[in-house]
Amino acid sequence: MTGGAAAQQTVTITGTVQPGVWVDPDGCLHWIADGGVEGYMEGRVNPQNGMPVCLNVNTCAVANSDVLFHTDSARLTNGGRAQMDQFFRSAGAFAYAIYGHTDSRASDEYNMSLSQRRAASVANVARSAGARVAREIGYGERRPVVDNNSAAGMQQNRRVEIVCYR
Amino acid sequence: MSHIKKLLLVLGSAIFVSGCAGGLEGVSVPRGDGPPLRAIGQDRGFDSEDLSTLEAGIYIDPDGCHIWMIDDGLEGYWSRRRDPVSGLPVCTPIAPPNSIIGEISSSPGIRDRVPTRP
Repeated sequence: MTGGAAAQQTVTITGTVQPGVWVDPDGCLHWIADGGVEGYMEGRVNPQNGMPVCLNVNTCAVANSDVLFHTDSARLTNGGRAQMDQFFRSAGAFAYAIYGHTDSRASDEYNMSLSQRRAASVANVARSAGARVAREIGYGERRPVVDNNSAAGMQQNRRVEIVCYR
Repeated sequence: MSHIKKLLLVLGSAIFVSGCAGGLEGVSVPRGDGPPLRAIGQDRGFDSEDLSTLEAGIYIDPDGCHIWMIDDGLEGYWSRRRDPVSGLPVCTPIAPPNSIIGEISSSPGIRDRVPTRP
């Protein structure tokens, strides 16, 4: 087998495109191009993980887990339950996606389970407030928003994110 | 209708369409050296605008999932709606499959044409 450039297929460039960016109402980016009398469009993705690339527009609510739950538990505090109940009664979306997250302490497996149970607790409040829950998912410690190397960072990562499907 | 008449009609409408598209849409056949620029982020025609300002409606695909849909006169665009946090498709049953919700047409420049029902 030959290595390097010799092994690569040659390509012929048959044209170029200079797309614009269209931002959808959820804040996610799409490539868009007008070809004269044709149109082209596709969602922009992160090449590493395939996720859509979005501005921070449609996270309806981010609640800190320390306020919502008892320590190491998916049991809501009275204050947390009231806060979530109030949110779901007033947000007015068609449906909600609820995502639980933890910091990086404890094992990945434990955190996946805890975040899943916490998402489920919030989802139960949503349903009892008459809201439609589209999905409830625990991501454990796998999707931190900041580094876990400080107490403040870990506190930010312990969260429940709610996306409103309007 | 005679074959000659039909041919003239076809030729005529072809000329009308190409002339029209050139005048209204600011397009031309590719010229010059190097690979041609096939598409850009702007609509340069009669109904010209920056494509970033377009407004979309939601089309519910046959699986029940949402697609952002835009009718921009001579061009149409659509792209899947994905949850910004999880990246998953959004498939809440706001309407039956194949329905369109909201206003997809944000271009007043060229009057829209729709398919003739069979």
